[in-house]
Amino acid sequence: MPERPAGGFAHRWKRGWTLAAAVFALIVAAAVAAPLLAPFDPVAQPDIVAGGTLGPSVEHPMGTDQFSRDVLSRLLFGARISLLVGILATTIAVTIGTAYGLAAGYVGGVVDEIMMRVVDALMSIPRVLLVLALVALWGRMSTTGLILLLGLTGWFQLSRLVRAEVLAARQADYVASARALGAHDFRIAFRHVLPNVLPPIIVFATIGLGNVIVLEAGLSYLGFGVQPPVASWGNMIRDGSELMTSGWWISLFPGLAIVATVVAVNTLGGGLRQAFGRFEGYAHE
Amino acid sequence: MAAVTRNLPRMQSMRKWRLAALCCALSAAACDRDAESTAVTGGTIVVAVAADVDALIPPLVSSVQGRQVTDLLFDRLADIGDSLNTTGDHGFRPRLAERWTWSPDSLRITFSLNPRARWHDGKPVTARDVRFTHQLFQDPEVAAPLAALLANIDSVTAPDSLTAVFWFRSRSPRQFFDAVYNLLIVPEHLLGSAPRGQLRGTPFARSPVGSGKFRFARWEPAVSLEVVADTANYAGRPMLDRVIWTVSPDFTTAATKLLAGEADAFDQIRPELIADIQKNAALQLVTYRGLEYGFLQFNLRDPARTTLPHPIFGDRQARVAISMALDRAGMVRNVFDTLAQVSLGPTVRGYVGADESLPKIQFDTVGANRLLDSLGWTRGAGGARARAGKTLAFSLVVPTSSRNRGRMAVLIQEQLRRLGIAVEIESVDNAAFMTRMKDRSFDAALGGWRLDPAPGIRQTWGTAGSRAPGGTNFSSYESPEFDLHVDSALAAMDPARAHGHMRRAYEVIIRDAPAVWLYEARSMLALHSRIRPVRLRRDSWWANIAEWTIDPAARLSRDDVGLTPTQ
Amino acid sequence: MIGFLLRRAANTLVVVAAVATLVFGLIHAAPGDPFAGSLDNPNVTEEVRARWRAAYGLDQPLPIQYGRYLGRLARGDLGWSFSRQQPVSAVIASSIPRTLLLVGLAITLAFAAGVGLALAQARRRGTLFDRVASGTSLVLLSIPDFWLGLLLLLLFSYWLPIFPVGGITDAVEYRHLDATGRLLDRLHHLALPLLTLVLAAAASVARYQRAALLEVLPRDYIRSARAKGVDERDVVARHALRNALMPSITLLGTSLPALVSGVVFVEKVFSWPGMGLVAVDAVASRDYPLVLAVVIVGTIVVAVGSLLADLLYLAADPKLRDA
Repeated sequence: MPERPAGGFAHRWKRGWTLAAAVFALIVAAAVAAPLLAPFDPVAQPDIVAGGTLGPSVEHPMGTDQFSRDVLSRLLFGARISLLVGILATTIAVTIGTAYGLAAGYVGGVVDEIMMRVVDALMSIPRVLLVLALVALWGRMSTTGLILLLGLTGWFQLSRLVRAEVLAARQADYVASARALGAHDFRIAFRHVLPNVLPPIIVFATIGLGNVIVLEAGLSYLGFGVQPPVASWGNMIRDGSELMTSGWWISLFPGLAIVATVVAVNTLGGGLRQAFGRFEGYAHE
Repeated sequence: MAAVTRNLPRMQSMRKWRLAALCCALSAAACDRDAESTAVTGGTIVVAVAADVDALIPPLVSSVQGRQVTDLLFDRLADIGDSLNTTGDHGFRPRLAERWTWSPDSLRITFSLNPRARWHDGKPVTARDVRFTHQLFQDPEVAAPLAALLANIDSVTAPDSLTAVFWFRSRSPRQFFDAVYNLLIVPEHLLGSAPRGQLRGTPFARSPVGSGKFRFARWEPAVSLEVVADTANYAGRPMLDRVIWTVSPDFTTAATKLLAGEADAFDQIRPELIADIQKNAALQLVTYRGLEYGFLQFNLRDPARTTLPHPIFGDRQARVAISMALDRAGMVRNVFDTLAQVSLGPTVRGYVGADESLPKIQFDTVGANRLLDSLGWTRGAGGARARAGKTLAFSLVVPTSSRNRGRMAVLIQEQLRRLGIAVEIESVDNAAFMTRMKDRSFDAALGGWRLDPAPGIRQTWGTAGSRAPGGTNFSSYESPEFDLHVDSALAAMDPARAHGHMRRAYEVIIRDAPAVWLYEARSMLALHSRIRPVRLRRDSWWANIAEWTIDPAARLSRDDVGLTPTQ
Repeated sequence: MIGFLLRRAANTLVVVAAVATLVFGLIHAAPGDPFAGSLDNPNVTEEVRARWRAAYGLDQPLPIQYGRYLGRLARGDLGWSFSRQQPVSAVIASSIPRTLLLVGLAITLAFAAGVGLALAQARRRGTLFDRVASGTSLVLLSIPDFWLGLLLLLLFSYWLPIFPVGGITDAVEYRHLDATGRLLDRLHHLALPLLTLVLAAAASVARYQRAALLEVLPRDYIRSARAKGVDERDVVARHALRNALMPSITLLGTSLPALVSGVVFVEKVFSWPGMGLVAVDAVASRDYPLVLAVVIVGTIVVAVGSLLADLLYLAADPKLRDA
């Protein structure tokens, strides 16, 4: 293996990362094609007296849950919700974080100082506590509400990263020379600064997606996630967590689905980070 | 049960009680001399609970955990019998009071205290303590949660140190019950000087002194609480040496503690645990009749404008159609397995007037569909029902903390979907759930009541509970006919009359269907197999725990660790 | 240096004040009050509930409540917890050492294990061992911690009853054990929650540290050390590690809030009566003073943690120290 990152992006790319991308693409494809792939209706309860909590069989490869619903079908449809929540929440977080970081870094001075203080304050409240307090405030959670909540509490770190990149880029030679050549501020921001901040944003978005999927599962475990009968991997684990000893399959398979997705996403994120030639600062939440 | 007790003439019942007390005294004396029986004393029971106690001073207690502990630490004047009769004094057994007499007009009951009764600090229990306890419960500064239940007691006097006289405002079948059931006697000499508004901050609140069969030992909040046998108790020592409550934050962990052998008793049994408990040779399951019933509650008023009827549920026919559409037997089987039965109405089996012969709304999806069609809620594209451009849809509020109700909600949602009704489940935390109920801001909700031996049906389904601020008739069901029968039943001195009126009241409310009566829980207690339980009372399985024993041959190290042999 | 510390302290104070105000507004805006739960008993009248509210000043307008709260806070009085029936300071005092013990040990062990694994991997980079270790740590850091906790609980408390189900000490035996016995009992209870936290955190440190080591290994001073014939073990352990530790120290500071979040779930799963459990219970029971206290204390702990990380960073890097 090469010891020094050499050559361009493509050179530093590894096969494992392609595999991760393929796994992720497969999961997304399964989610999109869920109505075609799922053998049963994910919310139908065919027999609530005798058909509940049945172990894996030919008919139900992942068993049934306590409502006699097919776990495999729910897993496929659950992928849609879990990924949708993850992707939309991450998009919101990335948009706000980028805009905030760009603004702070670009304006600078006292405004920057205040903006960063605010981010510091928000970052120092553990995210779970903040989310818990907000969920209690709203009383009930629609899926839209959940997406907003996860998006609005997920951008703090990115704004700091973007701001740092902006500050670095502002001092870089090419920006100075562009300025000397009389380039417009706006043009500099777009042509020179944005391409530089793009890599951390992409990496953050990939890893952030994994974080959001895990957080959604955690909130569902506490009972504040996606509302029934809609399946998400998180509320499937909650359905099964009370039946760990007698119906392990109800929570095991969605748990594995989460791990597989997050592993793929994290590998991809790590790969992108190395391919972009950066190591610094994207902590796992 | 309560319904069939006869109202015995007072003198006869008193004579019987003196005799019973004498028998108890004799057998206790016999026990002391019997070497084989004394060998059975000893042992520790560890109770797994999912929440800590709320308070240890009886007038301040409202949680089940608080009741469990204070019932062991403190004493009543008399104990309700295992039949839970609340009419007159039939079935009640002497505790702090050795005997009692009624005045000819029945407005006064004179209790004679047991002269040997002592507080755990050695001071005698006197009539002044009884009077003081009543004052505490009634004092607005103390704000005792159950103060309203003592409204019929005008005052308590103490003519001498062993005589306490209760004066009542009016004659009622439950006078005696009112005087003894909720009134756990507390010591005046330790609490008398404490400011009434700040009892919770007193040292007594952290380390209470009672006269019950167990003494307080220690309390580590949110972790554990321990009581030990009061070996010098005037009523004889309990058979057990010690009871410890260990607090877990939720059901699953508490249950796993039991299964892993770390706890001896657990009363929140869920169906999925039964198989595990039955497989476990170290555990036994004890069934007793429960007092809880659950229901799908309709809001009969429009949540947006409570002066108007609800757009869907204001119509009795629509409520009946939904009742017909739900396969209650299947749902109960799915959620509770054999731990519950389909509920009869706003009551449990064995309560006054409640038996299988009450009318039922039968499961009939064809009929439900026909009824909805006739009401104008017709099916459109995709099978969803609508009337005058408005779809038939409502939200169902469920408390997040209750897994059973959460599961019921998912079953209801799917069954009504087949009927063309869209149900949105709103799962909210308990504080928010209760506030929505109180503000009547819901369409439908999954509710449940745990009955007391004293009937609360006026507050939960009567007009009184609908109109009063903070009233608990969340459906706002108002029926003069129902109210009339309930009031007549509650005022009846004659059990047969009470039974007849209660039955009529149930028939009225079942016909009006302000709720779909879903389940009546059978209660189960899981116990370590070395424990020999005695008489699990319906309202509190721990009521007779002082008589439980632990097989000496099967003791564990936790049974006597840290206990000196003299205890 | 003192100026730096003072500035940080002042910053923390401002942040705490802002956070307290935010959370005060949030929790009071939430539906439900601390006494709503008593509605499940039809015999508790509204009059009694009104008395309870008045007793705690909850019948006052919000700005007055906020003013009173700040006044008490300034005097160091955190208030009275409705749900635990004791002073808030007593609740915090009993639960915070438990959480600090868990988090402190988790950080230490995770750091040691993570760096150790990274060193071993860097030495044998590219081998099967390296790849298996990388894969394992990737999976571990991708597992939701509550799910990992549930699995461990199922495996080691239920199917193979080796470890206790939860709590910090045995409910009965602990008080009657000798000093050694007590220590062992504590460790026995600590094992599973600690393992859950350490597995995920160590995986994260290992991945980070391995990447940092591989980055410095090709540098000139390492080459010259190799050229001088220094053993490859020493090259990695002495020369490379010293320079590669920096990013991990930064990680320590920034991952603290994340670790606190993890603790909330892990405490819930293992009934560890620390700050995380207190937080979940306090929000659920609308115990306003307790919620506020938990958030304030949590924020201070995070601030102190990141300060410590910065000081470590300074200590580790002479160039920064001099500047």
